[in-house]
Amino acid sequence: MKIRFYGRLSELIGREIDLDAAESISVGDLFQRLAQAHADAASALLNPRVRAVVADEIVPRDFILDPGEDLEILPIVSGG
Amino acid sequence: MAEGSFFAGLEPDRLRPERQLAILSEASCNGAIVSFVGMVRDEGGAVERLILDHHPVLTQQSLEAIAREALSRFDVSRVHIVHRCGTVGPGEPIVFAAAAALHRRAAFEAVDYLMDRLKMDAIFWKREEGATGSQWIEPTDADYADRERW
Repeated sequence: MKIRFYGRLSELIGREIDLDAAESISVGDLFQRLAQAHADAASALLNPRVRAVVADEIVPRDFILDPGEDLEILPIVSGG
Repeated sequence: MAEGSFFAGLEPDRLRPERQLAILSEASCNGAIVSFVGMVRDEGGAVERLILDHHPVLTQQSLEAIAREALSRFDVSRVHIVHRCGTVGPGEPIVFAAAAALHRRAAFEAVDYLMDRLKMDAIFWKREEGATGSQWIEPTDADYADRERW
């Protein structure tokens, strides 16, 4: 499963990471897993205004990701 | 409200406001055009560059949504937005927002609205870089208050 980050999160975690996910996982659980693995990014990651995106659509935290499904994580936007 | 049209786009290279104004003028010469150009502040020399990270699809969609909303709210015939992405230097244009209308008031209001929405809802992540380091920018309380005006 590829996870792509933008803004501050891309600086803290990297632009893209590959995560082993043998089973389906909710977006919320994945956020928790990422926060544990990247403690310095935890507060930025767990902010409720951070958005999860699958196939260019914003999805809620209870969205179930299938193994191999890619996710994008958008931190709070700066605006233009 | 009158039927209107819009252009909304991302510019990875230098933004030329005069060129954008000419494009809008040619597309719509019916009374009034109001335009706004936002420039990168140098903050007293502290900012050497501004980096605008964006999403390949959602950022464009956010610009289009803001343009559409302005068309539906104000009696304007055309809305034109061009926003920089990538690296922008101090003093360089970062955004061009304009509206054409039969009468000036609607065009002024539409551009005011466009900028308040762009400042909050356009999907960008901005990082200022300077001699003392770099920092990500998030909306200020003033930006939130401006957004609430509408």
